[in-house]
Amino acid sequence: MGFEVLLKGKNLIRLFEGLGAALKISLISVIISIFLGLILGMLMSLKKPVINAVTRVYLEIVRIMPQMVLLFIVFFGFTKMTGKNISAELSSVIVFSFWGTAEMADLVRGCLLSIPAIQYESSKALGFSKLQTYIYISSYRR
Amino acid sequence: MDEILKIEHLTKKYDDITVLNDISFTVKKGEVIVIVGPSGCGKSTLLRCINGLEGINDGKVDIQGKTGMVFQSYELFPHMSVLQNLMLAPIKVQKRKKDEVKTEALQLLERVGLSSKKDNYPRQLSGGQKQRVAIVRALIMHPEILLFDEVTAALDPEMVREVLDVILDLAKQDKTMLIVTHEMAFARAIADRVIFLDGGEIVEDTLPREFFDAPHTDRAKRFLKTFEF
Amino acid sequence: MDTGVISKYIPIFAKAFLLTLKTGWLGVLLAFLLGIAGAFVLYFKFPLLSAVIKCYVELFRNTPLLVQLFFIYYGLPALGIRTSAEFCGVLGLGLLGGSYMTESIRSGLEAVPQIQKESAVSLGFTKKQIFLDIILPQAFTISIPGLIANVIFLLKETSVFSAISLMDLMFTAKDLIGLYYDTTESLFLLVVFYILMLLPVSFAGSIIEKKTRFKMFGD
Repeated sequence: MGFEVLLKGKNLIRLFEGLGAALKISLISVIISIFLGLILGMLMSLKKPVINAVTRVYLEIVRIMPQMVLLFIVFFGFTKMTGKNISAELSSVIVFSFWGTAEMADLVRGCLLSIPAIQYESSKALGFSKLQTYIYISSYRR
Repeated sequence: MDEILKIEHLTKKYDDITVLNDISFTVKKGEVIVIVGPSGCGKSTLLRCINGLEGINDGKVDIQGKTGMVFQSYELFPHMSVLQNLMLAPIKVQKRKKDEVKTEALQLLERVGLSSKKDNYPRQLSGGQKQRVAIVRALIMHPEILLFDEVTAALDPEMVREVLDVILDLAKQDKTMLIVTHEMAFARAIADRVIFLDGGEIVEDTLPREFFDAPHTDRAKRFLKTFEF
Repeated sequence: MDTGVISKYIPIFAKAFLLTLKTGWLGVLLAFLLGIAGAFVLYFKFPLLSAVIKCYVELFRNTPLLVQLFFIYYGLPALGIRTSAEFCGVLGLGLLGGSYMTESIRSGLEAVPQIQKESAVSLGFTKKQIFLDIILPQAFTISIPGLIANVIFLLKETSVFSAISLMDLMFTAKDLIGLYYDTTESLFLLVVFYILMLLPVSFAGSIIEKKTRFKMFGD
């Protein structure tokens, strides 16, 4: 089947370099997504109209725009706007974080809202502050 | 009187565990039999063996005609309205005419006080209402014997009565019924005979007055004691 | 942004849009057919076939469409089968989607409680009636959110078609940017046409989801 092509020249090394780049981009994007997603998810669970409207548009963009399109926009659009080149790696990190944050935030929101209201009420009755409730009640349940 | 159901030496096992051991009894037309016993004694399994939901390991179950079953958890079809729930089986299974089935369904709904709910979906009904619909759904198939499997066990206390009233009404119409229940006052009021099942065996098969006032066995006495305060 | 450039590009993008739309929805259709067949096989546990379907689902769910397309596009000719890029696109998308649809439909079927089946048995329904009248409609309602998400996912995946030289929206945008440097206009049209393709589906999907859910669960 022509697998020998893998062994020609530096092909195999190049493949592993590709794998390394993919892993690096994924790892950085995952970390950023988790961090930003947690914050955004908590904001969304507050059910404030303005936040809801903005995040709905954001989530809808992520829901319907192919990642390739987003990559194009960042990669070509950034250069066009600033006149400076942006590296492919940085473009990828930006797009994947943009996408991952949305997914993560939606998950966090869903989890926070699925905790029964009585849990919040009882923690309030026990005198926990809002922040303490988040840290000790909400995050343990899921 | 005609025998509708005749069970002889029925034995049911799950792997090595014997759930029902050598059960024999007969049910005559128009009889109402209440089966009582502690949890896990095999009452529900007995009903499931009778209507064929469970296979049996030994013995014989002989039914003259069809059975109808009402479940503890109602099991209405959630994607259909009340009327659709009632009409599907008569039309699809018995190939009866739609108009005739609809007329009967409406009559039966009227009888259980749910005419106004005919176009509602199960989710819009209370537990008691759902269970009354489920009873009508079994009834409209004209079964020779009706099986009730703890039909009030999942209901809120204030809804138990409306369901039991429907069953009492059926008893007055001389329907043949086999009722598994934990409602002892109801059992006493409706039963022609009480079967006390314990450990997969029939311990007593007697008249309700006798069973509740003067049980013969210690096991029955102990069981009845758990309902006292 | 130059409106003259945009009006010049619109017909080019429109042509690519129609091609993307066609291959995308044909792929979705194929995915549905495969998914129904696959879920049916898994639900009824047909001995040998179930194993085949399980392998298929695992394989296609866990590899990117791009890789699958390469195998189809360069692999089929190596086997002596001559095809078009369009056919490869539809086939690839259909196979990928089929694996996702199989899982969604199967989990819907299995989410219908066993006792629903028993209550149907005790009313005397045949196996076929139980499946078609009782299980399937309920399973469908349960599956709908997953199925809609799959459709959107698949239509989005058309964006990798350009890798097998299918002249889709991405291909056109890349081409025009490379040739004339009209980056802003090309990106703008690319986004507009993808919105045109997916926003109606997303909207319709939400409505269908709400309606079916409400009918059965009431919330």
